[in-house]
Amino acid sequence: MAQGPTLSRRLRRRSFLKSALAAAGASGLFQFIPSRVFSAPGRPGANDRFVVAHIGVGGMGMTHVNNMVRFQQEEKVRIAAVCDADDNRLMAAWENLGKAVRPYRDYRYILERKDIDAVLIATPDHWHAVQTVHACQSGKHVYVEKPASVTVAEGRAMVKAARENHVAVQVGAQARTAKGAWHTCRAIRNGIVGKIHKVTCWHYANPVDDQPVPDSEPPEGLDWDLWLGPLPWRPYNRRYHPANFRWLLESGGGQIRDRGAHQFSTILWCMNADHQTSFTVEATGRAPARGLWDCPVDMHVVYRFKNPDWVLEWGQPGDKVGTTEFGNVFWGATGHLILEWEGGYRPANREAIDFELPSGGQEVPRTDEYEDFNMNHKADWFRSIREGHMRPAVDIEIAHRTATLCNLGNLSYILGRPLVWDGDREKVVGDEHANRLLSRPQRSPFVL
Amino acid sequence: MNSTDLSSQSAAVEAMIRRLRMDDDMIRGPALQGAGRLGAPAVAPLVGEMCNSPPGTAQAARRALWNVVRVAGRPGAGSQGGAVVSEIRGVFGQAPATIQRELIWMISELGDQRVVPWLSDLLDHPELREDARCALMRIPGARALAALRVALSSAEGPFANALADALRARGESVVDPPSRNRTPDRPTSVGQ
Repeated sequence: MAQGPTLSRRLRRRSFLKSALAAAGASGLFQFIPSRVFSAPGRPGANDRFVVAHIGVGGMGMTHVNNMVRFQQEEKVRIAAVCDADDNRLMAAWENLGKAVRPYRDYRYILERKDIDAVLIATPDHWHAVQTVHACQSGKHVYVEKPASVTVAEGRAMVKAARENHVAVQVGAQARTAKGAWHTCRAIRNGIVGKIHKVTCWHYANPVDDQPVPDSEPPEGLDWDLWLGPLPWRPYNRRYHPANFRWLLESGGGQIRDRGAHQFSTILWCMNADHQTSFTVEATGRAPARGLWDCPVDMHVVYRFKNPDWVLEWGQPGDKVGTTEFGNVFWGATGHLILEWEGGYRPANREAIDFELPSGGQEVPRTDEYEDFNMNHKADWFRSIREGHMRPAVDIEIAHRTATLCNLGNLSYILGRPLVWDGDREKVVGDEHANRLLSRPQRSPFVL
Repeated sequence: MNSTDLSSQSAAVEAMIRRLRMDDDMIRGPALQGAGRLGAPAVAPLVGEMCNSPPGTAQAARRALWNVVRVAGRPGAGSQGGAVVSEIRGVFGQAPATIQRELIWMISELGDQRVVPWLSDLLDHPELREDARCALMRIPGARALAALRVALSSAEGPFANALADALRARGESVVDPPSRNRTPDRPTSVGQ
């Protein structure tokens, strides 16, 4: 695979910078130069551009492309490649970006390129883990869409790959770097409504496939086998693609794994509960009676945490307290606070924005480089790389725990029984059948 | 189980099937969600509907059968899982390959070492072997592992790579053949 001139040019610049800084240190000036200006292989310095590639350029993938175009205009990144299993989408993205960007169908060509530092993954959920793990093993930093994974085993493999390869994996639940959720987080953590005993989510129903069509040949340009990837093979049906992967449990998991991954991430942040990995979960739902999509139409999921004790409820439709189509309510000892949407696309409620930190209160850190929360979340990812700690705001460990909530909610629904989750062992207590479903054999060669 | 129980169970299965055939979500939906409690006796009728009914009924029967599998696997269900596996194997040969694939995945959730020889035989089937390989990855115990090892000893080409991947996923150290999981092989025509 061809390597562009950028890498060697960057390395030359890095060498120059290091020499210059060494000279500066010798003359007593070193204390004025931030340490993050130093770079290392796979960790560009402050004056370097990240070389990035996009894997998956459908709906959300194009948001990422547009963000990277802006970073490129600011001379912070260079977009080197785009990739999609569907040539129709690939063509659109490639034409938009220009001929300097190389198009690929198979993401593994991108992983072979040594000049690429980082990838942004926006494929259907069933691909997230395999592509993330492979990218980490190839030394790339990763920004991957939420939910992190479709099984617990996949999520654990993603964490392991990130740590073993010392790369930063940021998951696209942007609220933890967004202003709306931040206002809410600092207000909740500092007692705006007292001790929280329950958080409820409301969300509209999952759609029903009320216009089913027979299986058919895939459209020209779509590599259906590659789109399926790790999933068991089955004939193409246009109710899978384009646009509908979300409504199948195995590829999309419904709204609990889409918006739920956002909302749960925000809630765990506000509750300061990333460490509360054990819980019980009980889900009920109404299965669709027709069509290809199998996500429950309505769904009610209750999670119970201990020490401190609190309850998290996912409701489709749930009890709608706010005015928007989905949101959350924090129920405390002295009142309640609403957060509409997940704290990214919508501002916080007025009470949270106006909340003043009490004396001795706990401030909540947040990357604050861009008003646009999609841009800011990526800036946070870049920052974790430049600073060398590789722990962005929604580090893969955090996102794995959030995805575990989503995935176990769906697992309880499909099994039709409550589950007791031991977060330390990552096992369901006393349910061998459920434990067997914590991983899913993957179709070769699309395996972790 | 006495003859009265058998008769009432049979009637319950028939009633469930009748409701699945009705093109009314308010009737079909609860029927497919409630099918799990009917257990192994519902397997053959449901597979029959999956094979022979119009798409709407076949899809509902498929979901109903998954519910049978999930209820049979619950803690304390005793021999119910084994009974469901037995029934699935009994009707397996009557189904087309697309449905057989799904039946293999159902067995992967409930099967124990007793299904290993049957799954091993499917590793020779060109249309079913990948699903059988996946099922053997899921079946606990040394017997499934041994079956994958034996299959690898005589396999060739990409399926040998797949079997090696299966063994690696179960914690085995396999050097040859190497994994092809990071080997690109799908060029695009865009921009060429």
